[in-house]
Order: sequence, then structure tokens, then C-alpha cells
Amino acid sequence: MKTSMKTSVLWLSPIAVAVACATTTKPSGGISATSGGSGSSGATTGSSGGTGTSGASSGSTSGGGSGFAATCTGPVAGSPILRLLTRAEFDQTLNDIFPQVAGMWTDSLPSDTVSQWGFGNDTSNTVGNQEAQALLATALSLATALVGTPLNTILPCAATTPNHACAETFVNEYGKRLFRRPITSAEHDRYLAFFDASLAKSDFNSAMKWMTVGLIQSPNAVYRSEIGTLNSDNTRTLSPYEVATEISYTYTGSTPTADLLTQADGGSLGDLTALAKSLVATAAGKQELQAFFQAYLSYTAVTAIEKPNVTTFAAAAPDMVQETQTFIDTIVFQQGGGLKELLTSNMTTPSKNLATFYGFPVPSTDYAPVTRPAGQGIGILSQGSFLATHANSNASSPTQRGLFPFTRLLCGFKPMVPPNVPPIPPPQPGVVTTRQRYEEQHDILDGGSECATCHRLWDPIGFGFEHFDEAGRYRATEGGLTIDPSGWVLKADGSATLFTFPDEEGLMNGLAGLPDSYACFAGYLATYSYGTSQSCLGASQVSALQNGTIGIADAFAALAGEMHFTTRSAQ
Amino acid sequence: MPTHLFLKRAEKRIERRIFLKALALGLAVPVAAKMARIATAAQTAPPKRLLVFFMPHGVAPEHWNPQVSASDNTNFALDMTGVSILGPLEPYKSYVNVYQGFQYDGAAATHTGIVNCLSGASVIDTTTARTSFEHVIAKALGVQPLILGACSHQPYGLDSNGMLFWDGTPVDPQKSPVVAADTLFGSLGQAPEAGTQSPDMQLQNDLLALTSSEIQSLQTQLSGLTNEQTKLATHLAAIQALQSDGGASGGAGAVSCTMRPSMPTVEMVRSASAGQVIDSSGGNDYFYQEQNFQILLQAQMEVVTQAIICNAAQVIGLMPMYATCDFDFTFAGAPGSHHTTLSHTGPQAAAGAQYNSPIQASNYDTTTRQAFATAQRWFCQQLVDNVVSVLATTMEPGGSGYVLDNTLIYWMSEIGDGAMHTRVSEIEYPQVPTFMPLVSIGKCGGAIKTQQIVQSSIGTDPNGNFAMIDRSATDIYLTLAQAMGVPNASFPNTTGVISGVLT
Repeated sequence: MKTSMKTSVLWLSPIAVAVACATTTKPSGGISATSGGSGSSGATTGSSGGTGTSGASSGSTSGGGSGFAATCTGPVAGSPILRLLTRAEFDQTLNDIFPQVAGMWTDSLPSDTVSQWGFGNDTSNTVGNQEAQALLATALSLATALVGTPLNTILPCAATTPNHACAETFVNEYGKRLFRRPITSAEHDRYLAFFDASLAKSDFNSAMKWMTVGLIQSPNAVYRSEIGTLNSDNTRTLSPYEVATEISYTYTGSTPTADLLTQADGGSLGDLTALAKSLVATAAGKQELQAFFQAYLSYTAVTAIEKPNVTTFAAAAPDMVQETQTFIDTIVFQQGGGLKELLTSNMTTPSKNLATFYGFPVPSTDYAPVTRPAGQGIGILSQGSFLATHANSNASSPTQRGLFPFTRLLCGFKPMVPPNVPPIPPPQPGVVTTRQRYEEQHDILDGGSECATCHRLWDPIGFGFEHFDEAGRYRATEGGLTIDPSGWVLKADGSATLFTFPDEEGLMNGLAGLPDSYACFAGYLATYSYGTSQSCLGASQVSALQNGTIGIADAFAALAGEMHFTTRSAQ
Repeated sequence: MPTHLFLKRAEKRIERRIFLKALALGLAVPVAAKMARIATAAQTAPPKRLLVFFMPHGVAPEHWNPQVSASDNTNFALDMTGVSILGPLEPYKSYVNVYQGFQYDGAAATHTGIVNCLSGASVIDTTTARTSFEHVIAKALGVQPLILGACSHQPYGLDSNGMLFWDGTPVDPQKSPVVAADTLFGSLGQAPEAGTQSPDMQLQNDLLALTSSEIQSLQTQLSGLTNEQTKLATHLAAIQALQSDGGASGGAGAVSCTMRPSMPTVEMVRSASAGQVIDSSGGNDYFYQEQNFQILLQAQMEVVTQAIICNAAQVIGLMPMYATCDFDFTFAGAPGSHHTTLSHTGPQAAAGAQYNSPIQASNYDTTTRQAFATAQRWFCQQLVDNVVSVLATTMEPGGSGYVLDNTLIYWMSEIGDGAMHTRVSEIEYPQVPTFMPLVSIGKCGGAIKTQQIVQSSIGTDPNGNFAMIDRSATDIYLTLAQAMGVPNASFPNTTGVISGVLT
């Protein structure tokens, strides 16, 4: 068990204080770190709580109310859980275990249910009626393919001695792969009894098919067990098989390899952080971290939207996705960069066509790095994929663009929209700027209205992006009118100004200088990785991420070294 | 071979062929099995069918409310109020009821209420179990609901804004009209293939028993872990439901069509979406792209209409878009993002006044929200053109009236006034009461008394002002359930069947 600990680590969770604007309740569930009370349950004492005053930031997060930040004084173990495989994990698992039938079966699973944090792998997901039906249909589709021609390849005895012993061979081998641990004797007997009874009613192939369906839709297959065994000190220790499963899905999105399970047979997986680091460096590992960014930034939705006033947008949108993926790959994997580099890099990686769309220097080859023109934005939030998805169809949106840093870099809480939302007047190019429309409508400057109560927290952040139109292109003016990209960033509870900025570059540099940004980002990364937003589960990396001693890829890998990865609380 | 034995074997071959075809298309095993049986069953009298149709973001009431003549709630016009969102229904008025004075209960505010508006549940989280009323009715009828969507949630997954339909857990609508059509009709009109009866159903039931026992075994191991016990209990109930369904089908009785119906828009979608390679985020999925929304909705409506006509599905839900969806409605003559621009347009005083200028009866500007109303009228037009008009002119098999006579369409939104985000009836501004936009279309086998404005108590407050006294929308669900032949359905906060609606 990991015993070392960092002290007084600032931890911002993706839920925060009920800020001053909140006229409604906070989201249900979430993270107890924000309260100053007893803190989250954990295997150690003092896991959270306190007054909410930051230990790592110079008072910038000592929000009022229930406390914006928690001080994580030690490693924390979260709850024991069963994690339902996501649709992608389920598909990849079956393809890895049964490569012989890849492409020969149909996945009927519904879309993943997305949590309030925007992630489809939340531990609260369960198997309801629709999912149960779909699991059965999908398993049957695969099993039907399996007992066709490929069966003799997968199970040679099926061609020579199709009997009980042959089925037993299958159960022992594939039961272990699907359950990610050796099957118990009770399970062994249960499945073979089913096989025998089925054989009596049909034939070998049918009995094999339905037994395979049973293995695939088994709760032992569709849930990742992170339960462990209860210790005398009221903690739970995850088994090597559970840890192998956890590390494999977290860092490759699929089931443990046969080799990793063999390692687990030996009782130890060695240095988990090192193992995780090696997995993150693989193509599958990179894809898993890319998947986090897809969910965190929601940028891939750019290919699903339209911009009626920009006729070339539809052609540019797919390239925007590739641009952002390449940008992340360059910063995070090739350069080993951290959040600061992600937010402030002055390069980007467009295709040639996209560079023309933006008005940028054309790269030597598609998606090769180019330096952004001075004054035309820096960092990942100046990418077209982000800017276009966080905008209206016919105009930029300081509200949508400002909300992202507010909620996902500062962990501010956006309350429910009040009932009577006044309309934003339609764009009037050449007559009034977008900023003017929002300032007036949301009463940003006077600040006395109900609108301003909340919008003053994020619209001024969004003003920083006003040099970018609804399609993500730089614009020097807006319909001939001067653009004012200056703004300010308030504390998430609105109690004070954290910094002011002259433009998008200043905004990004300011955010990159805030301890809160690192703590919040780390909170999202841990929430995605662990599938739960319990507090302080991955707080150890915050300081290192902030001071630049580790990059995002290493911070991701280091989550395997947290107490939560191997240990759980009793309940 | 005796003739009857020959026929019996032929029938079994057909069953097996349909069963395998349905499975290949990803249809749930019980549904596939029952479909195989009903496809070969004898025809019966036309059943009652239910369609729940969603429209996002409410309405502009000044363009919605029917114009009642002489205080007679059976004498009204649907195309007399400004843009007239309901206008396309005017020719079918004899089938229409407009419900006024009903509210959504529960803690939800604004669009978040989409998670509980069809169930009447008080909670708005996304983990508490609830069942929306079409599923309640379907369960009572012993049929499998057909839940379809057209871009009904974000590409990345089912978030709370797309959680309209519930079956304990949120239901993800089928995104593809092609899959839906093939599942429902893929086997019709094809030659039977050789084969013998499959023991699949028996083995499947044995297997479900095994899976149940595994879940129960796991429950025992996890004793004391409350959250995980709850999770497993939900899973166990789902497996047991599969067992008890015994192969619930979509329709009640036989599929009346012997050949696959013509669905040209579905075929257009099939061609356009063929061979798509979806990236890991789903962002480029044809079925979630804004540019394909119109054709997807029209194709889904084709499926809905033919499913109703052919009695391939008795209970259907159709969800175009989702709460807060911001598709641009320029195509419908209403430029702007549907949610943030169009629906958030509030009532305004005339003569260039700002949004928050006092609105008086004398200066109320009914032109302000014409664009939003135009967008919402587009939904009505789609419903009429693709569903209502077809059902109203298609005879039931055997000539027992028109299909719409035996159908009940319930059209709703998650809020009332698009800008005010109401969930109760209000009088927000002069002379225009705001109701939840709730409409039923169809006679439901003669069970529904139509062509009326169905109002809950509308009276005056102590000051003598016009006042609404809402009933829960669940009273509508209770009433419609009875009309569908489900007398014992129960929903939260009901006060009873609405008088004057049932015949």
C-alpha cells in the first residue's frame, strides 16, 4: 500500500461552492470535499474536511459558503464499487478476447449514460431493462458467430471431441478472460451444469453458444469489480486481479491481457505507476487520455453542428477535430507537457485547408505544427473545435465560452437556469458587437440585475474570446466594429477578482497561473479515471502538475499510485 | 406427411427465419422471438396504438392557444393565433384535444424537468428509478415499446438533457430509422428458409435463470454495500423482466402487413449512412449530426407511421432533439439556434422597447416570437404531414375505420413558455395564459372524446382575477392509460381521471 503522502494539497473537485449567484441547489451527489465537515470516507483519517481554505494556493480559493476547496491531508481510499463497462470497453474487450470473430457480430448496446461531469464511465451506471436486453442480444450475436466456422480454431476439441470436457476447456480459459480472474469452482460447476442440460436439449454448438452468452452477460463480466477483501483495520484491499483489471481498463480501455492476468496469478503486478506509465505510452493508452479530453472539452461535437452563415464550416469541422487531437498528442505525449503548456502554447496543428480557413500560415504537411500569428490566440481554448462548439449557430457566445473555464478550470458551480431567461437580441453586424449585446442583456457592467448575479462570473471570461467568430476564425473587427477582448476572472464565489486580462492570451496566461486551475483539472482527470467524484482520490499530483515537474500524461499514470487504486474503505 | 403437420413445420421454419433475422439486426431476443410468433399469427381486431411525440423547448403561448368561440370549448380554431403552431392540425381538429391547466410536478426547474415530466416523479437526479407513462402502459399491455430518436442526445452519450423516456433507468432512443425499420419489417415478404425449430427460447430462459443466480450470488457476497446492492437489484430486476416477458412483442397481436411497407426516406438514410466509420467520440456519427436532423426525423416518422399501420408496435415514443439542443432552424424559416436564440426570445413590448420594459396589454408585441413559433409549427407540420395525415386516410385492415380512429398521439414538451421556462400554468403577461403544450390526437378506438379544449379548473383568485388551478399532468397519463385499456395504471400526484375525456 502506498504510504507516502503529500500534505495540504489543494483539491478542487468538479463540484464547488454554491456561489453567490446560486438560486437553486447544487447537483445531487458529487464530492464531499467541498464541505468543511467530516470529509469523505476513507481508509485513513483526515482525508478531507477542514475549513475549505487552500493549503497550496495563497488564499485564492477560500470561498465562502460551504467551502470551495478542501485541503487533502493524506491519501484517500474511496468506496468499493462495481463499475459497469462502457460500451467502448465492452466492445474492445470482446474483440480482444475473441479476435477471430471481430467484425462478425453486432453491438446493440445503448449509448453510455453521461454523468453530470460529462463522463460516460460513471460508477453509478447500472444495467436496466434496455441494457440487459442489449447485452443479451449483443452476446448472442457474438456467440452465434463464434460457434460458426471460428469455433474449431478457437476450440480445436470442438472438431474432434465435442463433449463436456471440451466445454470445460472453454469455460476455464475464456471464463478467466471474461471474468478477469480464474473462475471459482462454483462458477465452473454452474456453467458446466448449464452446458450439460443444454446439450441434452439441443446440440454441442447450441449448448456452447448459450454458455458463451452466459459468460459474456454475466455480472462478473460486465462489471469491473473494485470491491477487495475487508481487512481488520476496516479497509479493503483489492485483489491482484482487480488491480490488473483496473489498470488495464484505465490505461488501455480494455480487458487485461492474458500476460497481465498471469502476472496477477503470481500475486503482484509490481510498480503500478511504472506499469501505468508504460501503458499510457501505448497507442491504446494515448487513446484513453485522448478520450478524456474529448469528454472534458466536448470538442468533437464540432462535426455535429452547423454554422449557417459560414459556408465552409462543414468542410473544416472534421479537420478541426484532427487538429485538436494532434495538438494534444504533440503537447501531452511528444513534449510531455502539462496544463500550462496546453493552455498557453502558441502553436497549433491544422491541416492545410484548415489553416487557410483560419487565415494561418499553411503547414508543410497536414497537421504539422505552425506558429499561430501573434495576437491571434494561444492554447487549446483558441482551437476552432472548442470555439465553434462553444458558440451559437450564428454568433459567438461569451456565455458558453466563459462557462468552460469557470466550471472546468475553476470548478465553479453553474446553477440551474432561472425560469425567466430574457432573450439575447439577435446579432446586428456593424451595429452592435456581441460583447455589447451580452453586456447589456446580462447587465454585466451595472451588475444589479438577476442576470448579472451569475453572468458576471463567466461572461467576462468569455469576452476574452471575442476575436473569434462562431466558426472559430480570428476576426480583427466584428462587422467593422472594434472588438474589446478584455475581461476579468472572479473567484468562483464572486467574492473577489483573481485577475484581469487584456485579451485571450492574457486570459490563458492568467488561468495557467492559478493554482485552482491545476487542482480542478486534476479533479476532472481523477473523476474520469476512477469513475467517481469522491474527493481527494487523486490529489497527490496537483502540486507537481502545477510546478511543472510532471506533465499530464505522467499525472494520469500517477493515479495508479494513489491509495484509491489498491485500497478501499469498508463501505 | 399430413397436411397439418406440414403446415406446422413450415410455420416453424418461418418463425426461425424471422427470429434469426431479428437477432441479426440486434433486436432483443424476447422481442425477436415474439415477433416470430406474431408474424405468423392470425389477424385480430385493430388494437389501440399510442405514440408519445416530444417537441423541445416549449412554445410561445400567444402563437399556441386555440381560439375558442363563445366560451364553447368544443368550438375552437387552431389556425387563428398569429403563427398558429397548431395550425396544421386544423383539418384534423375532430381528432384533437388540447389540454390546459395541467402542470409538471417535482423539483425540476426549466429544461432539467425533461427527466421527470413523463413519469411525474418528484426527483430530478438521473439515478433514481422512475417509469414514464408510455412504458407503464406498455408493461400493462405486455408489449415492448418502440422508442425512437432523431438526434435525441449529444453524440458523446446520453446526458440528462436526453432522458425523456424511462424504464426504471433512462431509455436511449433508437437513433437509426434504418435499424428500426429493419427490425420491425426486415423479414416481411421474404421467402422462408429451410430449417427446424430452434430450441433457442428454451435455452435462453435457462440461461437467464443462470444469470439471475449469478447476480444473487454476487449480492450475497456484497452484503452491506448498499449502493452496489441497489445496482445489482436493478440488474436482477432487468434479467427477471426478460424472463417474465417471455418474448414481449411490439404489437398487440398479429403484424397486419405481409410485405415490407415502402419507406423511401428510410432508404435515403440507409444510403447516406452506409459505411460510416464512427470515431471514438461519436462526434462524426451520421445519426447525431445537425445537418441530418430533418431527414432523420422524417425517416423515423415513416417508421412510426408504418409501425402503427402494420401493428408492429403498439406503444411508441419519438424524440426529436433534446432539451437545450441548439440546432439552427433556418431551414424552417426561423433563423437562429433553437434553444438559446429562438426559445429564449421573450415577450416584448412593442415600439422598440427593451426586453424588460413593462409589457402592457396596449403594447404587447405579438411579432416578437414569430420566429420561435415558426420553428415549433414546423414540428406540428412534420407530425401532420408524416403521421397524422397518413393515419387519418389509411383504412384499418378489414375496413374497420381509419387507423387514426384507433390511435392516440400525445404531443408534449418539457416546459410551457419557451422563454419563461414554465412548468405550471401562469398568466405571465396580459391576456395570454401560459399552459403546458399538451395535445392528444386520435380517437383511441373510440375511447377518447375529441375536439375539445380540456381544461382543469380555471377560476378567479380572491381579487377576482383570472387564475389557474392546475392539476398534475399525471392525471392526463391516468386518463390516457384508461383509454388505452389500462385501468389500473398508477402515477404520482393523481387526483383522478379527467372528466369528459373518456367516452
